[in-house]
Amino acid sequence: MSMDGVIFITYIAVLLVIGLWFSRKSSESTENYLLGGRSLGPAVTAMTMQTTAMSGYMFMGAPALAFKYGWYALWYAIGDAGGSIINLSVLGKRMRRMSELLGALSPIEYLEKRFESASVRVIGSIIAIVFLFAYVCAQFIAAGKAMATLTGFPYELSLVIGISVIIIYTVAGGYLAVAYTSFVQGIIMVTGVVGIGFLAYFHVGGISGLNTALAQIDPTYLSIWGKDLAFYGQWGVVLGAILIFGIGYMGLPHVVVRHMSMQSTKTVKGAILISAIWNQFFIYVPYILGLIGIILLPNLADPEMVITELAYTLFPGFFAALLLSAVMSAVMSTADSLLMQAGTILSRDVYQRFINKNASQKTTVLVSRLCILGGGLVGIAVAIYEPPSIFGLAVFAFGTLGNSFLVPYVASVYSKKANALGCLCAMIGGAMTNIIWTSMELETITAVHPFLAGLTVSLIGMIIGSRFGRKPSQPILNIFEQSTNKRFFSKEFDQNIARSLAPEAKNISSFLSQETDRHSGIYS
Amino acid sequence: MSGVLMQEPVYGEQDVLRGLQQYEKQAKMNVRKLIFYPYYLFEYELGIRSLLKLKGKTACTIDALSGYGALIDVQPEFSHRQIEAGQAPAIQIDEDEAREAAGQFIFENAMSKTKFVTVPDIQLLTSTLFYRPFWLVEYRLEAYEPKSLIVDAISGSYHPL
Repeated sequence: MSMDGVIFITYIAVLLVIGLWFSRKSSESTENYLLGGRSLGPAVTAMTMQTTAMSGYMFMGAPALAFKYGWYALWYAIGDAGGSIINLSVLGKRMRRMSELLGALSPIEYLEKRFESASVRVIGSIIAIVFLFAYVCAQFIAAGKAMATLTGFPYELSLVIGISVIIIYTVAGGYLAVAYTSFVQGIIMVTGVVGIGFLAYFHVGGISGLNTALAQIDPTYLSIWGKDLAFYGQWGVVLGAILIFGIGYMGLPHVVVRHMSMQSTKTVKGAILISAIWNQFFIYVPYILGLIGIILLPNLADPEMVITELAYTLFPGFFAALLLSAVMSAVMSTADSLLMQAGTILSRDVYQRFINKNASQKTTVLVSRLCILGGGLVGIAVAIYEPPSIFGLAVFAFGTLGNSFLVPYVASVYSKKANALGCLCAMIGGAMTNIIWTSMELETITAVHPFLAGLTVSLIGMIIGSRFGRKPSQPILNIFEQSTNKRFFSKEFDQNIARSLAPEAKNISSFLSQETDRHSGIYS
Repeated sequence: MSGVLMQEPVYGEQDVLRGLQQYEKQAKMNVRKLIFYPYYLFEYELGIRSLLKLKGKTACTIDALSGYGALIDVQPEFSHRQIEAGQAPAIQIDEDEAREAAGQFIFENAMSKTKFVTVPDIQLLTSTLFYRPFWLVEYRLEAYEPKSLIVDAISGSYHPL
């Protein structure tokens, strides 16, 4: 085995010891509850959130796209960075208000309550699961490539070894260990990526130096239409690229776990702030590294290895291997979290609801684990036999999620008539269109990005579907009216509202109106 | 009037107003009253057979009106208190129903956090009905209808009604 392989194994062993030590310490405490989250603190919580967000797409897919198409790739980064802004400014206010009034805690629960249909939840969950699995495949491919670099073994063998190592590691460590080790990994990755970024940036002479060198190789690298002007005038493609990530995130299932603090604490608020700042920063760095790769690594055979090769070029071998170990480990940690989510939703929303209503906890767990195993095996098979690009898979998964959910979310707050049938037509129509458009490569014939095509069909589905089926009930129409009222809270006040208190707020509101009715009854 | 177990407010009226006004200086706010919201607390012994042999207590609350579960961080302290009629919404979920929901909630969370193959062993230790105080705050801004907020008197977090 190569020296890098030894570093990787040592790295995993050290992480396991760290995890073991902290977990023992946490479980020895008599006052704190296990799983409660308080003992982690804002820095560890933030870094855990950050490493979960660091996916194979970020380390391998994004730089590969920039390496291939030049500055055009930044359209995707703009959409990714602007996603939260779109959510907040366009949809956010009304949707948040309605979500509060409905007492919903997660986006899919919101759709179920707004459209008053369990089918919306089930179909939404199934779509989310299928594309979560597709996204997991992208993580597997990334892990296999990182492992192959570290061990020098063939990609297929590396993939199997990589997945086995990480599964053993997470099974042995459990959540607490993973949370603490994520903290260590986060620091290594942040230091590594920032370090590579700085070194490479100055190496090429900053943005001006980068652009001059790119122009000398091929001026079209600087074009907003992509290298060789591949997407010239294709606004449909550009618009799709901008919208895809910002909106795709809204379709992710977000398995929300409520935490109730028994003493005053600001842990989560601090953690979210730290994490949001890092996210904004990290969205652009991988793309810029891809551009730098065009200059520093002109003979690179596999564009997805830009960051890896830059690490080996700019850093001593030891640190490069350490960074790659952290990347590999974080990628797999993301993958197994996604699989866990998918398995839980499948067993709860599909198996328990439709197949076996009286399933015991152990049976549900077994079903969930079998689904994960099945999904994992399919993922490995795809990653070995038909490996698509990491970028292609991530865009496909996010595009389909966005196509399924964007129109229902928008219609839920802007159209009084939008109903369950419209929502189902929009979700299914949007997803199917993206799948067909991508698999039949209709983008090359039509110059329309699959995402934009899916969006159009989804919109038509919503308009036509809402003309039929059950109309929204009076309570929903009342909530709709209330949510359109101008909200006068300041931005800062609004941002600090604790969304997890939505059910309590809804119940207290009804309690107070009952009290008022009772009193007016007494005095009238 | 009835005697119940409740958490004592950590944030008083003045703390709440000061806290809210740091985000919103234009509005006039005044505290109207305390509302006591019912929850069930379930405490469990959790054992996980993995390399770590994790063993310890875990606990959750179940909202006694809507049945939502929430993990909690530390053992809460309760005191006995009389609450007036009209200060607390009526319980809508009975204890058996809540116990079942809590078992499922803790199990799912333990499973998703311990990951993959280990099935945790969970034993119920105690169950308690308690009330958590929320301040009802009126929020007034010129030229607008007044609005109401609830402020959790333990954590200080707030939500409009």
